[in-house]
Amino acid sequence: MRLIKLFIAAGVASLLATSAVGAQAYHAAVIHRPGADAIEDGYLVVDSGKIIGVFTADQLPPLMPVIELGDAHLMPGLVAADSTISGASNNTDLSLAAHHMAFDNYDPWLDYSKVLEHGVTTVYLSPDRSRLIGGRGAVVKTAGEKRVVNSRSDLLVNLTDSALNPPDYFRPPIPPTAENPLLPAERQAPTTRPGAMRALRSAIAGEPDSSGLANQRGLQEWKASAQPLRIMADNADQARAALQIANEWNSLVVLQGMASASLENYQALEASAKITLLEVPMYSSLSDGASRLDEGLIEAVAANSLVALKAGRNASWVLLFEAASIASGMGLSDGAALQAITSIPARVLGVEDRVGQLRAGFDADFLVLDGAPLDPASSVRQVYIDGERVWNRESLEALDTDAVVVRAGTLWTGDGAALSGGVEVLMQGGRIIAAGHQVPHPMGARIIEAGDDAHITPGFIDAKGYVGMTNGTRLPSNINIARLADSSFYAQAWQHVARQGVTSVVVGSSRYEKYGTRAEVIKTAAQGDNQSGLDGDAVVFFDASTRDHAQASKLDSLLKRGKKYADSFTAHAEEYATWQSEDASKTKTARQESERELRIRLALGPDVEEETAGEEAAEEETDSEEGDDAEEETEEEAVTVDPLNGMWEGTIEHEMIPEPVTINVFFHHEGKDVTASLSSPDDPSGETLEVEGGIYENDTIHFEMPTEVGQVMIDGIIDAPDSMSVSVGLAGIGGVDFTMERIEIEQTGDFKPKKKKSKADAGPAAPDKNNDLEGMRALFEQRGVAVVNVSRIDEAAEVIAVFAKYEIPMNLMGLAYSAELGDLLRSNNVGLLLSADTVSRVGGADLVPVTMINADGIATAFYSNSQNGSATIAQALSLATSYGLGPEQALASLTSQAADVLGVSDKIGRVKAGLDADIVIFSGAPFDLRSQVQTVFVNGNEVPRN
Amino acid sequence: MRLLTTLLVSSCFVASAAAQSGSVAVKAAQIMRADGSVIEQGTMVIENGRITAIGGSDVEVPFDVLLNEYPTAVVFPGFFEAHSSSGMDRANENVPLAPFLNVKDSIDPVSFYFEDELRGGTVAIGVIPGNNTVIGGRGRVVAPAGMTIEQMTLSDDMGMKIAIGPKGGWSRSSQLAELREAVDKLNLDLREIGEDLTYDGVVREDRKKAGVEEDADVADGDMWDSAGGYIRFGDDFTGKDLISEEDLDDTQRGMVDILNGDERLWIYAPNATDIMHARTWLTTHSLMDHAVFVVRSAAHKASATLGEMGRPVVITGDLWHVETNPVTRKLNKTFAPLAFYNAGIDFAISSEEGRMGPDRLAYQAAMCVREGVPREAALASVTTNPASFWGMSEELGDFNEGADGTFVVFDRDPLHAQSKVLEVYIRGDKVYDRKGDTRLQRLEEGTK
Repeated sequence: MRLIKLFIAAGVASLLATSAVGAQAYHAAVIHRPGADAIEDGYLVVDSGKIIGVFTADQLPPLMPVIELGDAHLMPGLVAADSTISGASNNTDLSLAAHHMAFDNYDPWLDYSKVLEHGVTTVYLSPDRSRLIGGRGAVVKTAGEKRVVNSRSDLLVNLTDSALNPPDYFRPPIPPTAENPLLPAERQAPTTRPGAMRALRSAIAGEPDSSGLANQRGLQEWKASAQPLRIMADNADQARAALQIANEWNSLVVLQGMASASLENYQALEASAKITLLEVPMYSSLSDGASRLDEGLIEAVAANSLVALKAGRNASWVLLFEAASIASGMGLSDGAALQAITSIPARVLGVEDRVGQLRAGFDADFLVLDGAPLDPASSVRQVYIDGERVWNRESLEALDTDAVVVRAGTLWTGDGAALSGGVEVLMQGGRIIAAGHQVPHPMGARIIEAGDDAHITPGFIDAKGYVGMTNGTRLPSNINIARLADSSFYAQAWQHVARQGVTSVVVGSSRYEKYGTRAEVIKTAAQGDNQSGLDGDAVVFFDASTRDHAQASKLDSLLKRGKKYADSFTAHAEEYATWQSEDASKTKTARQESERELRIRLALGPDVEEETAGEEAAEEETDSEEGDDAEEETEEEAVTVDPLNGMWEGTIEHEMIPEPVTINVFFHHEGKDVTASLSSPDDPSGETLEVEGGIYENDTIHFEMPTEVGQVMIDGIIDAPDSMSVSVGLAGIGGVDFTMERIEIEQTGDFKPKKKKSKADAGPAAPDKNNDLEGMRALFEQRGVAVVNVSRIDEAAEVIAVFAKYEIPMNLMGLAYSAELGDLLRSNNVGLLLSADTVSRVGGADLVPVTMINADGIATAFYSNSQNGSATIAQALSLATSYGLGPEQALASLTSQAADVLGVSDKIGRVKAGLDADIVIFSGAPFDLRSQVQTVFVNGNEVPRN
Repeated sequence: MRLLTTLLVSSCFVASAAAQSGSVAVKAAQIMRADGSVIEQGTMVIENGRITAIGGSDVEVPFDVLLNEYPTAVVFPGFFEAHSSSGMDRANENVPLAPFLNVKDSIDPVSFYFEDELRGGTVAIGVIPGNNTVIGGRGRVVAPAGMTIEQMTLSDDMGMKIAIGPKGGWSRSSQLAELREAVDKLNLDLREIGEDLTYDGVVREDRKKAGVEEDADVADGDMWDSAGGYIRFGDDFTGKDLISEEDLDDTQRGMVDILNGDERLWIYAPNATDIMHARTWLTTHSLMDHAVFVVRSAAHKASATLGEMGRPVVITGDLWHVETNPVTRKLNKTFAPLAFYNAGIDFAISSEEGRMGPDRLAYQAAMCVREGVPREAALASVTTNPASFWGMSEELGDFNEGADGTFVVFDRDPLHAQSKVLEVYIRGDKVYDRKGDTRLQRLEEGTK
């Protein structure tokens, strides 16, 4: 035994010594050898593109460089005994075209990544399959320098119905002469199978056909080459004919197809082909469906001949693993199925001494797989051709995808029990795409193998902390809190927190402000600016913990104020919306009016006018309701119109003024007293000048204004409806005359000079913003949750009642846990925030009876209430679990329940498709103090370790 | 209508009759040679259509030669369009095997194409049948000026188009099967003819021996000619020596000319894969030395193969090759001329009709310079290289004593974006003057 080993080692060593290029061993968990036993923990040794052999560890020659492939499986590259690379149908009208070469259609410069991806390394180039004699095939590899294996291989004959009734063949003579006249297109054989047989026999006998003698020469060349004959046959009848032809032509035949053969008829065949290239019916589309081979057929064929496999006619030819799996399900043994896509198709192609096996002297074409070849979960990781790696799933850098697949032993989704026994999480575009035992692996995805011991949890949420607040813990009320975490991805303080698995923290001022302290849930690792917030979801903290008893009523009045403030915004939003639609309809009526005027002007007589009026009426009928409303409004105005009140516009032109100035004046009169407010769209300051004390009499107005340079007199005469001649004079110096037109009529009893409309009007003005009240506004607008700090349980009940009145979701904090509190919270569906330190034991008693929390099913979240302490919140809970807090509850409180009580469960808190890709990978169970945080992802980005 | 067009064209180009036809001398601010080198204040003398002297201001101008002075302009040899199927009434016949065709019968001298080329500073165009064929026919080199094909022709029957890339609607296997079949069929026909001729010879000898008088009319037929020896390729067969040119029909003659190596072969091989197949075919028939490859930018992938073969290449169509990665769906762009230059290939570029910009050789050459091809190589690709591919290095492409007196007067560097062609002389005769280009004037100034 020892002697043999030495002998092998010496043999290999001598082989290696002679080679110029160094040999290389590939170490894999399993090496599959078609037709022989698989070798576990084996080494495939390759040198200069050829295989030296497959060895076990003790057979491996010394000093051999080894490439470790880990748990991967190795097998020979797949051999596709049929393909559509060369087009393969309707290449020619000729029914007999032995002179056509599939190789002529081959482009060796094309990128065949899509084929390599499926593990196919050697491919048959098929000539035209839709003709009786399609021509000669070829054999090539899918990558590498020397791709062409055989440019003229077997002859393809099609005896199936698809070759019947070829098109007529027309070839005009050049030039047509009396001897060589123009003839109608020639009918071609075959139209029936006997016709096909006759055509084949006469072809081999050397009779000329439509191609002249070209097909003859092709057939002679094939005969001389001793290449096999490949005959397509769907059923046993066609197979019988095929075998007969092969016998007459004295040629090795490969039967291709046979998908519709019945077992009975197949068994009735007197002879059999040496090799059958069996077509495995496969699903291809909903309309085509999938059929099955006749029961037992596959075994019958395998008993009579070697079986190679190809995917069904309508499915993609690259699906060889799939075809083998299906064939295996139909009765072919796994070993035979593997041979049927490697070594046997190599025989079909006449390259069985070069590819399809991992044997000494063969081409080093092999695949690195995730698992066993026919395992549906296993896929092709790498492809080697002639010893060169030509495809690598994991280094497709050009793909530029941010997809990451994390594989670990256990997954805590945040809800309920953990999923164990191998799990995967797919993240892409900052979101979790899928999680479970197996997830899709997008091309080029980064795959992180965390190991079977590793656990994946959602990122932890600290329900209150002060990370990033370096200057004390008080924040001005107008601050944009999320911006505290800008570029936190690169900041030490934040990284420290994020690396411990805390991916979100509720950050806000530490002080309880009178109208509530606005805080926000922010991510601890944001790569750019404005990346860390969760779209303005607010958490507003209130304090109701002081000693007097009026806290609840005080809160009530605060909330009342807040509601008023929030309502003013709601009202404005509605007003604005109305203004917008009105503005739109106004523009519309104005357009209709001008159109109407135009029509009238264009009209030649009263008839036309009537007609256009009629048309307009019809148009109005089709108008939307809004338009009709606007129409009615104008009519009302016409009735109640005041000659002066409203907005007037005029343009002042004077030689002293460089450019014409437009002014807007809002006049309002009550009896004789008239006030005016002047503004100008040309004035950049936008200021308004209010003038009072004017006199309005008989359609004239008069103002006198004292200024620094003297008395300014303004006189206006309304000389036509909505038109006024104005004269402005400065005593003793000069004056200017201009006209004004009313552009808006004031509604009766509605004097709102500030809400005047000019051309550049932006609608009703928004209410003033009060930053102190913004937090409450967020609550009333359903953009956040409240958290109230209380110190007594009776107070808690009152506070809950107040918030319930305003329908604001709220949580409590500050109270120690008790059964009474439990009942209160449960009955009102209120969450509880607990300090991470609360769960501890002093002396013999639990401060918080954690066992009750476990059982009560109250939504709880934990907070650190500190700056760096956020980082240790998970460790605090680890300790708590040793006092009896269940790990599942601890995890839920830090993740899913925290997200629920903070109102952000649509974004974070769970490992669930669609949520943000915030996950933590632990080396062991999450609340085991021996476990380390390995990797943390925030928004799909790995938090750096430096 | 035709008359009107003719009149218009003639008014444009036949602006003035030179004092002595075919003779002219020029003094210019710069005489720029094809490699881009410049003779400052250069003088060039052309007599009887040929350059007799070129040099600096000291070159003596004979008294009887009209001297034109261009104190600010650049005199340049002009551009050579290496491959074009424009200016013909149609580029290809429907017949796939048509070695008997000749562009002579198809060129339309008054086609606007030629007028436009002249306006762009092109002085010679290799017109050859299009690529939608298997064997397309013969091409020739013409000047874009002249009223008849004879006047335009600079060199005739200069190359045969063979397409390896598939004809429209054909697969490559059909294309190559057709090409192989053409040769196979010719060989078969030749053997039959050889046997017939041998048999005829035997009969004639027999008759002579028997003392039978020859029929008077038979002597006229080429059946009895004794020229023979026309077939110089392939294996020997019975009667090979007896076959003369007259024994064959047009198609056969064209095929024999190709296989004898008497033709310069313009091999249309648009893609890398076509170059592989072309190489196989040419090597099989020992015709590699006669091949000029007509490619498209996609063929850059085979530039290593082309470099090995050392044969000239003409790039047609878009100079950029754009490809989508099948996995990532990203676009990869390659500038083909640079790839060919880096592979050490002698290449020519052609203009792309129908696209503003690329329809000018100056633009194409400037693009090459922009993308990193050295200026000499870029200029060579539109001057000396096309001339050498057509076997006209002696006459065209550069200024040499004895070469054709053909030149273009530019107002500045020919590759400059705003460069204008002022005048064009072909073999000493002025054929274009911007001042007399009424159509251009109308375009620039508008109709008044």
